[in-house]
Amino acid sequence: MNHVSGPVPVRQTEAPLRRSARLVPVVVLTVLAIAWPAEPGVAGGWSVTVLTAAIIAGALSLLEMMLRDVKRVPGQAFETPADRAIRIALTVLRGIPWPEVLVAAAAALEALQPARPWHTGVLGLALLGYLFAIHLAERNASVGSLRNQVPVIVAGLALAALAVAASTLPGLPGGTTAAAVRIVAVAGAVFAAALVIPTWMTRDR
Amino acid sequence: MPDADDKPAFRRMRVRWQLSAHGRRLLTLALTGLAVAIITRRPEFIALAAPALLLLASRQPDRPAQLAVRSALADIQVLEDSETAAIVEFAGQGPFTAEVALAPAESISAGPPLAVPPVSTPAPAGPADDSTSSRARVPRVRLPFSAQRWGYRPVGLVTISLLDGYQVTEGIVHVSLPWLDCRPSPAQLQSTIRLSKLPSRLGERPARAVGEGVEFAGVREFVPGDRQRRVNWPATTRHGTLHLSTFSAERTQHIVVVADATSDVGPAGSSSLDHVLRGASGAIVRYLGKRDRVGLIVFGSRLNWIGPGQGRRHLQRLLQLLVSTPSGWERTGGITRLPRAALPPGALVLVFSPLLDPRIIESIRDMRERGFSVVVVDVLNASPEHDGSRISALTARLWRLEQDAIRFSMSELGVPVVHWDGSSSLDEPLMPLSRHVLVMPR
Repeated sequence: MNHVSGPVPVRQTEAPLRRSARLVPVVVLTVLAIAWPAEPGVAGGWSVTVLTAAIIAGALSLLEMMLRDVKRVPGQAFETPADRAIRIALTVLRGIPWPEVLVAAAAALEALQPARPWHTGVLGLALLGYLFAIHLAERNASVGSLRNQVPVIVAGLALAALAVAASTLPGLPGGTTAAAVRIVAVAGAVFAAALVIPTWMTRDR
Repeated sequence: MPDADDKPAFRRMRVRWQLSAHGRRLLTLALTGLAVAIITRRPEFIALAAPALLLLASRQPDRPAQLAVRSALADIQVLEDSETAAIVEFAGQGPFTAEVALAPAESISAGPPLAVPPVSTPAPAGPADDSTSSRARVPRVRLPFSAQRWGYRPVGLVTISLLDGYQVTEGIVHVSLPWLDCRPSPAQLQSTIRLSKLPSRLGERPARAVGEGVEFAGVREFVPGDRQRRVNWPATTRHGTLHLSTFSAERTQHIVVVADATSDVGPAGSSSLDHVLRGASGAIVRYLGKRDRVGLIVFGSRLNWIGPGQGRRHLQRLLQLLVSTPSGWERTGGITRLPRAALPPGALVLVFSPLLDPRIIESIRDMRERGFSVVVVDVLNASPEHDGSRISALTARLWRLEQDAIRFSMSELGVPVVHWDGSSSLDEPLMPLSRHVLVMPR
């Protein structure tokens, strides 16, 4: 029997305290995503520039999330300089995908550090958590809404661990060719798993 | 709410599948991880890409390619700030959760998006398929919204997003809605201005002249030919000769509302044009309610008018003209003399204007010289911003002095200028004029 239950609001106006509580994980993971690749410190040069970019992107992504409910105001005659500045600032803030900038900056910052596979693996976990936290905060959803994704996420994390472990294998020859072979092998394994696991999970039981 | 017979038919619309915002971020993470791994030759960066790639590769099967959709507005005609709704019905979403949101157009305020759980309703067989069984199973979503500013305006686009289980991709269908006719919210007005001289046309306003009305005017001595039923017996007993009661004649009053749409200054929603239209709308509704004959002249980039008339249909015509005339100022439109057809002799002219355009000031002068009783409601509540510098302060002062001079010259011509802030009742500024019968010197 076909049963249609009534439509339910996806997002409702929340109390400021509750909305702030939803942003707490985002703030924590933003700080972690910036601080982790910068640890134990940045040497200078490009690292400082990339770290600054990551901090700016993180701060502006949080600001954009907090100002998400502020409505767009059209320009008007006799507009005060302050109003005009606020309008332009909001347009710029909403026009740039700050979380993506943060992800790219954090990865670049980690690349500027010496090789440390397990540290990079944890950064991958933090960035994935950061993206999920933003997604949940945007939709005002709880962690429970990700229940059906848990197997895929666990499989993905297992693949990440595999990639990290592969890069730490001892006794492999050094050099450009060997590194390229290793990258292609790990990427190939990940792609194969990415194709096989979803098909296996959505099979008709 | 349009009834079943007025409903538009279902339209088949293509579903455009794309990455969601979450999916785009995951793709960024995956591509960044892969790029860094290749550039730096460090395989551990594949760990950044692996979970994101796996999530991106997971997608729900049986994605619908089309949805059958129909949309309508609960009300085609509304007042500013009154809540109404867009009705959207769609079928064929399959096992996907649908999120229905209204992306509001300018000056429209929409409610939150609504989620419709998965249903296994087949899409209607064709555009005309509206059978009862099909209707009962089709999700029907009511999206509340309100128009914050008058005008014949678009409502916006309804977006139906079909979300897969992993929320990585979404199928998007954009549905356009009919345009909305939003009328300005009429300003509150209880009192009316009554002229001392009314045209000799039958109406409901007691005039100074004696006639056949119902309002008592006085007592006079009986002359042969008078109607006996009007004999005033107490006066007759007192004086010893026949006296009879006289009554005021009942005349109609011609009101011409002039709405100045040449300027629109101030914040949207409480700009001078908003106040002009709300004030004009309030005056039209009130004077038509008093059975006066009301006409309208909209003084914008074009000059549009409707001659005085009465009745509900006339009210609709006037309000329609009020919102449909384009505002703005054109250098080529140098008309200052308003047409005779729009201004019947002896009419009371109510001008709603910020008095910023020289043409409307010249028109008011011209009307006064032609002997019309003109009352100006000044709706200017904004002034140009200045940055605090000496030159800027001087410019602002000159601007203010010029505005004062314009208003003073109006008063010198015998045109009362009252200021209305746009938020309070119109009775407040018009009280000095509506308290007594208005006598305008010619």
